[in-house]
Amino acid sequence: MIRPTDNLEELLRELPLDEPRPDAITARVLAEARRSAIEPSELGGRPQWLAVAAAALIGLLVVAGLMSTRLAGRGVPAHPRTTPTPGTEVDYGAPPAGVALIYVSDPNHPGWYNAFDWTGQPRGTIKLATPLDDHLYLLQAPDGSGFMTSEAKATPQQLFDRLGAPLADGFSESDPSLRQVWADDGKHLCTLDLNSGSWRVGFRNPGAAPTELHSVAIDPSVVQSGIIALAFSSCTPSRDRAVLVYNYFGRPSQFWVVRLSDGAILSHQTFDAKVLGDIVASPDSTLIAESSAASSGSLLGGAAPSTAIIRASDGGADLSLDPSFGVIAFGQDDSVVLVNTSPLASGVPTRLALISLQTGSVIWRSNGRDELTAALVQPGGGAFALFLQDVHDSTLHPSVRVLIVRADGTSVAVPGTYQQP
Amino acid sequence: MSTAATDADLLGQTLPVTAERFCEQYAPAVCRFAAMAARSPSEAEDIAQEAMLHAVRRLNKFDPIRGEIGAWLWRIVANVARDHQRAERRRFALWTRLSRVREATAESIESIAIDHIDNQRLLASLRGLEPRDRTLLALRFGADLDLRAVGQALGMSDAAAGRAVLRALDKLRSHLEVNP
Repeated sequence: MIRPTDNLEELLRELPLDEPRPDAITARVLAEARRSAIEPSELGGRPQWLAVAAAALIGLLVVAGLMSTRLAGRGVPAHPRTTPTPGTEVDYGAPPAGVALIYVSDPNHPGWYNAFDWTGQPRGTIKLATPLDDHLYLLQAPDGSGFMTSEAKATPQQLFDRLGAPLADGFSESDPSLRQVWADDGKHLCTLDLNSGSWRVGFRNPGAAPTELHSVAIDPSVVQSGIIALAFSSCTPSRDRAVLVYNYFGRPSQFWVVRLSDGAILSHQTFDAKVLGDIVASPDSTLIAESSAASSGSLLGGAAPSTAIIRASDGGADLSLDPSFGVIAFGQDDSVVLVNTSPLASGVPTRLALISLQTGSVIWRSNGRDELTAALVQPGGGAFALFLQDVHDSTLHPSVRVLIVRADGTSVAVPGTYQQP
Repeated sequence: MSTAATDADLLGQTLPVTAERFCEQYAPAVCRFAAMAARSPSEAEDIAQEAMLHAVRRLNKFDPIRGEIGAWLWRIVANVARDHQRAERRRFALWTRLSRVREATAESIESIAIDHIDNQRLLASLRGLEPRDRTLLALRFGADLDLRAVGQALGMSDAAAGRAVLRALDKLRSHLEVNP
């Protein structure tokens, strides 16, 4: 309780606030400035300034092993929504069970989501009884066997089964601090919550109570910012492991390898704020990519000299990549990584590559004109589904086309244009 | 979040400073300021983005001979906040009448955890203050500016800024006592 004698100045300084994310603000500001045709010379004669947006968007990256990887933040609201041109408007019927699927939103039917298999063929349509609010996203399980809405204030996360029917959830609705993500197996949800000031991890089946919750001894100072910055990078119940990452623009990056069954921290690394751009774990929690800050466009100096891929078990080096490469996600079979070869930025085309983890060689490369907005990892394989949007589309659910890139370097486009689910 | 150090760092570079460096240096403080000065997360986003964009677009016009870059920025930020607060007061009045005030922005898991009852009271009282008082407190305690910098941002002397901040604190304390 606040008393008249309390030091209001200190209370105000420490007041937790829903602060805008500086990285997102920076990305939008720089992208918008560029759109306004400000010449690089006006920005200090350094054409690399565009790269900054990347550092920002790296921070927005919600890599989650096999989860949907969303790259874009809230768009600059100055640009009109582009008109989607769906490849089809038909209802493909109930999606098949036991087939890994990629879901996109049907732009002409709110609440409808079309499913494609990993060869790019349409396999089904689910229809939510009530379309989601525009500020919510539908996050599919890695194999499409379930769905969960994104986190939103005052809106408990909703769960749906593989056909889009709501699942009762007796856990999340009662705990506003709960954060949950799909586990790599697509069957479990991994949970992270705060209990009396300490973080707890656990996992459960969708719609069921958590099996057990275990405290993780993470330094409380990482939670004093009021900023969403601590999250699962991977969660692997079958291996009893999870990797938690704290990554926030301008602050030291950290990761923890955690044992799910008791919350024990098996390893913990902290990096100076200017060293890394992002930290991403493989879906099976065995590898961790420490992407150099150079990959996010930082020009401040102090960036790691390479993007390193290390073993989570002992911290040993597995592969060293060019520091301009930022790891977005690992293939589930740990044969390849998807990287950005130029900084990620809102409103800027994304340059991508697929790198072999065995040889470090480039298997596939794209210098296209589109912006990567999200990516899915193929369950059990080495392919990625890339959600690509027009660089000028800054809506919450941009029009996207989906390109499936396989570990052998071949690719196939899903026919049509849809919306980010 | 020391502005003096920030200015010294930036002025130590060859001007004009790059937009990226400028944003990296100042965006965190501007965001913190905006979160405290605004009445909603969405408004805070708008203030922070608009202020930074405004500054970046004029960065090549900044003249170090006329003052520190921090002071220049915070004047821009204060002006943008003032303009937003005017518009926001009109919107807020409408929302209140319609009883549809709703925040759609995701709430951070961390902010929920930390003494949320007291903090919510403090935040509610802060948001109940007049816009100018919120701006004063946000510059002083959100952006962590000293009184001289607060005065420069708002076009007043150091002493006047100090008195204004104290008055704003008194109003906040009164608000907390009236609404325990």
